[in-house]
Amino acid sequence: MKNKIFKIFLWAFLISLVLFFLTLIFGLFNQLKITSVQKQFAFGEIFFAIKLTLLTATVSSLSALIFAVPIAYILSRHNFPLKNIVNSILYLPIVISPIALGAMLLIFFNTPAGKFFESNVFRVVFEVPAIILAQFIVIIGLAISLIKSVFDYINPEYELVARTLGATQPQTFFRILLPTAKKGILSAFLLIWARAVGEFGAAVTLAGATTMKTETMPIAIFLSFASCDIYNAIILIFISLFIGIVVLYGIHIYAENRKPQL
Amino acid sequence: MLKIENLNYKIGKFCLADINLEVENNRYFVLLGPTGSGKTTLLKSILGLNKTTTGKIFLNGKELSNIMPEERNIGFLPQNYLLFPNMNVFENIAFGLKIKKKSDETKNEVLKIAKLLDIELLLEREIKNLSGGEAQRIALARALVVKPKVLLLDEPFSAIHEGLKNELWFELKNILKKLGTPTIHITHNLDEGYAVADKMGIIIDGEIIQQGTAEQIFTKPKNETAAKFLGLKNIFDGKIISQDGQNIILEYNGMKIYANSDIKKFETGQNIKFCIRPDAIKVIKEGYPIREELKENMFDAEIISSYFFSDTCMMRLHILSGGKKPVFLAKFPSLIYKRYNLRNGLKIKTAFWKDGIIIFENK
Repeated sequence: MKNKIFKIFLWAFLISLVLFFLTLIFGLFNQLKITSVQKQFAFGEIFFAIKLTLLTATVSSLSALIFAVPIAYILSRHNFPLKNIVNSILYLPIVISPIALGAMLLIFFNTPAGKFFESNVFRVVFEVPAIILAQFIVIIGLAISLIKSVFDYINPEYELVARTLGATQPQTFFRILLPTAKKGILSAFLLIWARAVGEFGAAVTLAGATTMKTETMPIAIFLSFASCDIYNAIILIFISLFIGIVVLYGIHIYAENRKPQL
Repeated sequence: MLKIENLNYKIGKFCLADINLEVENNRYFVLLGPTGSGKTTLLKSILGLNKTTTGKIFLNGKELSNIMPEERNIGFLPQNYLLFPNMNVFENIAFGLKIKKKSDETKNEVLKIAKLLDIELLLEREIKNLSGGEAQRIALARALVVKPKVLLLDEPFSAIHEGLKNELWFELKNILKKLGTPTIHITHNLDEGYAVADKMGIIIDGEIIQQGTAEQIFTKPKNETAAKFLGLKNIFDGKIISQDGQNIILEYNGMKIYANSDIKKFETGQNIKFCIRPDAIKVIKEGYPIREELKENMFDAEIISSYFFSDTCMMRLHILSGGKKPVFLAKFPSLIYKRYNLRNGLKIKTAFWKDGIIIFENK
């Protein structure tokens, strides 16, 4: 009897939260029906926002991956002085609010170093690169943390065995560790990409919210709401939901098929 | 030939202390030791994966200290075989050859070693579909295909089904003897070590406390620590009464015990530790003639308790001679228990074989 009550208790939590999310989605449908009579679908603007979001999220996620893989490898496989402090710095973006991160970047570009960069390399603030940089800063901590977990999960003795067979450290990294971690890294990439797609706070602070210029999907939703354009905002929310569900469902299917490590 | 001279390595509170070891070509050396004694740490030091504090390792006369692990050409069979999960059997075996860019020979070399180890039919298999025994052979093939100058085996039978182990011990040794690769095999399993070793060492708490043939080590452990690790019981404090060419007479608890004489000379009155092997304690059946060599060490005893295993029986005996009624552990074939109608509480006569009494060098 106690077991049954315990199970009901557990299921009650799960069902109530799923129902809550479904209620939110049905609420959107309901609102769409009311507003669709009055409004026109802003094709160009929404298409621009989708295109810009997918482009910036892909570039920022790939850049984050390029940094995160070697950093996660060092953190997973090596001990060094002040490792805990280095860890804390690298994971800061996970705990700091995106707006604060955006503000920090904005302040940086107001320093001599930032100004020098903008005038001699390329402009960042209130431009598309600002969105990429903001997304990158927000997701990099998460990327390192996820990929480090993947590396931690793989027995480092595989690399030691490979070395006894004549493989150098780079060879063990590229021929043993990376292929073994491939699926985990891909899952991590999808997660950080989804997070980049949804990034708003840091991006709006550094890139601003300029229609058809720095207008990603979250910024477009914000602008639509700000101008009381509920219809377009709901359409964008639906597109965001669709992307989110596809990515998360893909990750779960992928995770289920993941072979256990020996 | 592998030679280790005065090797020291420290990690945290644990250290390998002053390791000296020599494994000649075509010799099979077994390093026995309990869990946490430093066996694997020593192997990793030989492989160059641990940076040793002091000492030298020579392989065929060449000093290895400044040589990277990948350039040492030392084969390694890890405890859980650690076959690369991103490769199939063929790719696992071929890994070392491909790294060394011997692409022309790869297929032939893999087939050759696969034939020797009887794993030709497994080459296309995925790693996850292998049994423990198959995985062991593939890991061995992977280590051997690059023709290492010495092979290190880390508990190679730990993942093998108990019933299959015994045959595989000899099979593995035969294969390695055929190839002539000098081998260091580490294990905590006494039977496994005894069965395969040409030469053997005991490592405890990071120190090799004894080396010799399996027989030397098992019949004459150097000290109490070695004896305890080898599972010997009945270790007591005694005193030397006398020693001549044939016998050492010692005194324990008012009992006079005769042991075979030793090369080592003891002084009269010297305090020593000694051990009576459980299998050296015999039950004397009344009415039967007694062997001469048993007569000197005959004592009355009472059976306190008995424990049965598949083919042996362990009995705790109170020796009734002397002051304190010491408890001895005796080991018999199970059939003796029934044949002699033994039972708890029964008073019997026992005798100790002189061969089974070991006097240790330490006090």
